[in-house]
Amino acid sequence: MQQIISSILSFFPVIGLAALGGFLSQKSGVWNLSLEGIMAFGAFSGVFAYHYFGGFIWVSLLFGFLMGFVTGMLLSALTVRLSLDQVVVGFGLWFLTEGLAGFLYTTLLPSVKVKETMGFRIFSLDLVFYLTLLSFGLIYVIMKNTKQGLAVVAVGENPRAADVAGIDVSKVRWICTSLGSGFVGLAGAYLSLVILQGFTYNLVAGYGWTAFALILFGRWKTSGVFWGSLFFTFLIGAQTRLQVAGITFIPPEFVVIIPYLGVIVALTAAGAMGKKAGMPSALGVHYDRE
Amino acid sequence: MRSAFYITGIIALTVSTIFLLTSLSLGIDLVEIFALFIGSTVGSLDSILQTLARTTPILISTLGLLVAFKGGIWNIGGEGQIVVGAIVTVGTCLFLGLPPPLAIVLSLAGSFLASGIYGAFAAFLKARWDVNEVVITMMQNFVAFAILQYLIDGPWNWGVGLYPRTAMIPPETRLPFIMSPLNSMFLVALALVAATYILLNRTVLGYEIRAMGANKMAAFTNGIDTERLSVLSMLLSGGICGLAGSGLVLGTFFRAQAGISGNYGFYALASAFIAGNRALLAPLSSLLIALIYEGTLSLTALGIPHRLSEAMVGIVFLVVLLPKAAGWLQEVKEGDAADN
Repeated sequence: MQQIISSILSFFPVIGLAALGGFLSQKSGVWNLSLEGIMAFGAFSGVFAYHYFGGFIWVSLLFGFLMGFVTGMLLSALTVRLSLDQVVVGFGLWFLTEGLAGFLYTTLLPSVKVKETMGFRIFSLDLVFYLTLLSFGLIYVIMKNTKQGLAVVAVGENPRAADVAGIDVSKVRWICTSLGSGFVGLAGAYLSLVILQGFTYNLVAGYGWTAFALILFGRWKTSGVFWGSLFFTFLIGAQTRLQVAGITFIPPEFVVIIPYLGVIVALTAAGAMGKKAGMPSALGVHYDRE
Repeated sequence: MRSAFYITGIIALTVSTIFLLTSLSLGIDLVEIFALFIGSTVGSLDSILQTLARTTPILISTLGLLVAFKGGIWNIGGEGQIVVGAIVTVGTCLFLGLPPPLAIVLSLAGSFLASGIYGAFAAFLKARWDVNEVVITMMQNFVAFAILQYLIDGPWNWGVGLYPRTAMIPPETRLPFIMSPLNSMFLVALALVAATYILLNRTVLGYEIRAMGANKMAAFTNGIDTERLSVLSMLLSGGICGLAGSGLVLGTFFRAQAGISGNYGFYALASAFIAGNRALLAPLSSLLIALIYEGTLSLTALGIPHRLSEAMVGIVFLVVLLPKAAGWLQEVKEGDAADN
C-alpha cells in the first residue's frame, strides 16, 4: 500500500511545481499562459544539461529551472515592460518554447537516456518531492506573513495603491513571473529526467494546462493550489494504473483523458458552487505609472 | 500601407535570421536552405497549389477563432472542433448512404452544428458559472482526440494499413479539385472570409459581438444579453472550425485518421493574432503560416526537423507584436480602434 501511494506521489512535483509557478506569477497580476511550453522547454533543457554537463542530475534540474527563469524574464519583459497583451504573448511563448524544445532536441540530442536516478529517499520519495512540499510551505508563509508576500498580493490586487505605498510594481511582477517560470521549468526537467528518463515529443501532454487549471480551481490560494495538485496527482496515478491494469469496461482511449475530464468537472463544480472570489483584481491588467 | 511594408520587412528579417542560425548551428549551406524553402513553397505551379491547399484549413480555422476573439472569448479549442467536424463528416459520408450531393451538404452542415455546439459548451459554462474558457476549450481538445482515437481503433476501424484509420469515403462524396492538389474547399474558405467580414462588420449581431469584446460591462448595461451572445459567438466560432475539419475529410484525406487536425487549430491561433483579429487580413496571415509550414516541411530533406515550424511561428508572432508595443506603428493602433 505504501509502495503504491509513494509511486503515485512521485508524480506530485510535476503538477505541484508547475501549478505553484503559475500561481506565483498570477498572484502578482501576470497571466502565464505558457506553462505547457515552458515545461517542455525545461524538460529539454534538463536532458540537454545532463548530456553536455557531465551527467549530474541536480545540475540538470537546476539548468531546467534556469531556462524556465529566462523564459519568465522574456515573458515579463514583453508584458510588464513593453505592456503587450499578456494572453497574446502567453500563447506566442507557448508556441516558441514548445517548438524550440522539439527542434533543439532533434538536432542536438537524439535519444539521450538518463541513467542516473535520484539517490536519497524518504518513504521511497526523492528529495525533489520534499522540496516541492517545502516550496508550498514557504510560499504559504511568505504570502501570509511577510512584507514581501503582502507586496505581491498588493501588486496583484491594486497596483496603484501599491505604487503609492512605495512598492516597485514592475520589479515585483518580473521577479514573481521569472521565479514562477523557473518552477515550471523545474517541473518539466523533473518530468523528463526523473519520471521519463529522457525527452520525448509531446511529453508534457497537457500537464501544463492542468496546472494552469489548478490555480483557478484553488481560487488563487496557496493551500487551494496545494490540495488541488495533490488531488490531481492521485487522479493521474489512478489513470496510469487503470491503463496498466488493462481494464475493459472503459475503452483505453477514454482512460487516458480521465484527468482532463477531471479538470472540466472540477472547474465547473467550483464555478457552480459560486466560489468566484479570489482572483487578483489586477490580473491581466497592465500597470502604467504615467 | 506603411505598416504592411514594415511588418513584411520584419517578418522577412526574422525568418532570415532563424535560417542563418539554423545554418550555422547545423552546418547546412544557407543558400541551400533558402533555395529549398522558396522552391518548395512558390517555386512551381505545383508547389504554389500545395501551399494554397495548406492555407485552406488554417484560413478557415483562423476565421472561426477570430469570431470568438472579437467577442472577447479565448477559444483555443480549434483543434478539437476540427476533429469533431472531421468525425461528423466521415460518419455522414460512410454510414448514412445518402445521395452524394446531399451527403456533402449534410456533412458540412452537420459538422458546423456539432463543432459549434462543442464550442458553445465552453461558452455556456463561462456565461453561467464564470468557468475559464481557455482551460475548458483546451481540455476539450484532448477529449475530441480521444473520441477520434476510440472510433478509429474500434467501431470505425478499417482494418487495413499500418496505423488505425477509417475507410475512405465514396468518391462521389469527395469535393472536386480546382487543380490537384488544391480542392474546392479553398473557394469555400474565400467565401467565408467575405461572410465573416460581413457578419462582424455589417450586421447587428457582429456589432454586438464587437461591443461585447470591447467592453463586456458596457455592452451588458446597454441591453445586450451577453450570456446568450457569448454562447452564440462560440457556436459560430466552433462551427466555422468544424468546417475546416469537414473540408480536410471531404477534400484532402477522404477518411479520418489520428492527427487529422494537423495542429491547424493552434496555428490558427497565431494566424488570428498576426491578422490583428481582422477577417480581411486573415488570408494573408494564414498564407504566411502555410508558407512557414510548407517550407519547413521541405527542409526536413536537409535534416532540419519540422518542429522548426512551430518555433518559427512563435517567433514571428512575437516579433510582429513588438513594433506595436514600441509605438512605431501608430496606424496599427488606430486601425484597431477604428471600425474594421
